Amino acid sequence: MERQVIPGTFRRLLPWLIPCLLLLSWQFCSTAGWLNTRILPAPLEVAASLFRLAGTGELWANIKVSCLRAGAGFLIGAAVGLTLGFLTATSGRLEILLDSSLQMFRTIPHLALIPLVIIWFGIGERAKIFLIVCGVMFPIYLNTFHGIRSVDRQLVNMARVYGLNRLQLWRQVILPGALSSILVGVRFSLGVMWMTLIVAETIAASSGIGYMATNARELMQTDVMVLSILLYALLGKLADVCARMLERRWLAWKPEFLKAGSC
Amino acid sequence: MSRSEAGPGLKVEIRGLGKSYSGRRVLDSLDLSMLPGEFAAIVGRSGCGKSTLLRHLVGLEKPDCGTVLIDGIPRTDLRADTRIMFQEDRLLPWKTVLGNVGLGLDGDWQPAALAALSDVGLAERAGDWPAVLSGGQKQRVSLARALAHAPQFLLLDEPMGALDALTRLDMQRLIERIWLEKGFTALLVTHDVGEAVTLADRVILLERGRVARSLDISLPRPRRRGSPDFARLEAEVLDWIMTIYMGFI
Repeated sequence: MERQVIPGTFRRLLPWLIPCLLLLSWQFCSTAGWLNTRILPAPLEVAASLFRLAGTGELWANIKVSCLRAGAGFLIGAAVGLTLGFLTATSGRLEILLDSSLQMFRTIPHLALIPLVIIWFGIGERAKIFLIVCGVMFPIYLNTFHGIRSVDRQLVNMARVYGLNRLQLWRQVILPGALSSILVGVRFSLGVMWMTLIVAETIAASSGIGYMATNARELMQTDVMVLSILLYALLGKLADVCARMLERRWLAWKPEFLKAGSC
Repeated sequence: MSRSEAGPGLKVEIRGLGKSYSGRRVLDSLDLSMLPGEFAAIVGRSGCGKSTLLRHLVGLEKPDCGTVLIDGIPRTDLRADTRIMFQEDRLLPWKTVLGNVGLGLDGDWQPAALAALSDVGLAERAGDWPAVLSGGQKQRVSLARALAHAPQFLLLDEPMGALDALTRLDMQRLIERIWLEKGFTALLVTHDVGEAVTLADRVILLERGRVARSLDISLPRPRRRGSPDFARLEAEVLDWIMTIYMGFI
């Protein structure tokens, strides 16, 4: 046991070595006067502004608004993508009807819609949620479709011979078989979700982390700008960690997770 | 439904069974009968119609002509009294061993699944994922999955084809033991003539979609591969196959 603990903590700490060194040298360069703090503020200044904004409650309000937007857009987009994926993967007719149109829409960069979306919805919540939905639904649609289509036919045949009805076949064979691919889509679309949110909040918003950054630019508060960027990175990482946890839980049967789980 | 009068094994009668796929005749007025509780083995070259025959017996295919009667009833769809074991284990990787064995069982399925798992000697692996089992263990789980439904007719589609020689011997012994215990009717498809002679009451040679030859094996069980009688019967079946094979080149 003793011998396992040391490499374990070591392995957990090692990834943080380079970020810590970077942070230290950045602080050092700022303190030494080699970096103009108006262009790039020192880490301690960023930390100070973090506490200042957290103290006034402004920070939490903005984080909450951003997370709610991201969550709502993601949920709607994922629901639409999943539904479309299920429909086209199970019905040949619906695939012929829908797939080529969806593939066409998919090639449009959804951020290119921003000017139109502002005209349609103004700069309110609907505009941002709509953009996130557009960005999120396609990765999930594609991976759901692919996942269901690539479920092993032999397993499906076996399950039919063993008397599973349609519902049981879905719940016990097709859905678990497609889940791995669907989760790849989820992780990918989480990235798209944050990116879309950042762009939308930076261009047109009156609240949220992106608004905080844009507002700080007007006042030349570089520390707040850096803080916003770090917040986005943190939230993005957090979403990815959640998706990985789901993978570990739902795909515990996969050999790669079996090994990780045993040590 | 006729379980009580027929005993644990089903009676199988195939009459004039014919099936073509896009003009190619796969089964050609095939006749074959099996007594309740009989163990028959089908040998034959690839493409002789073995798999198609099994699909008809399970109820996955509609014949072009002829009938498959199981206990006197035409087989037209899937039935719980007949189970098949495939060449691949076809275990669901996302279900535990016990969950796989219980596949398709309704209600309080766990005792039945656990009993079937004990029959194949893997009760202590009930909670494991299939990914951590060896090939032979996986195939034993898939046998347990078939047994959990208490089938009266068990089809074995080359279930030992992918196992190594020693594991295959274990598996043969296991299948024979369980068949003797449960008394179901069994039909084994195999490429291995020794395996057919070891397990079957009757070895059937299928060729061009019909029964070409049939040989009763009345050696006492368990059969020993080294015995002269065994060797004679094995050589006879091999001779048939070789004769037909020579006819093709």
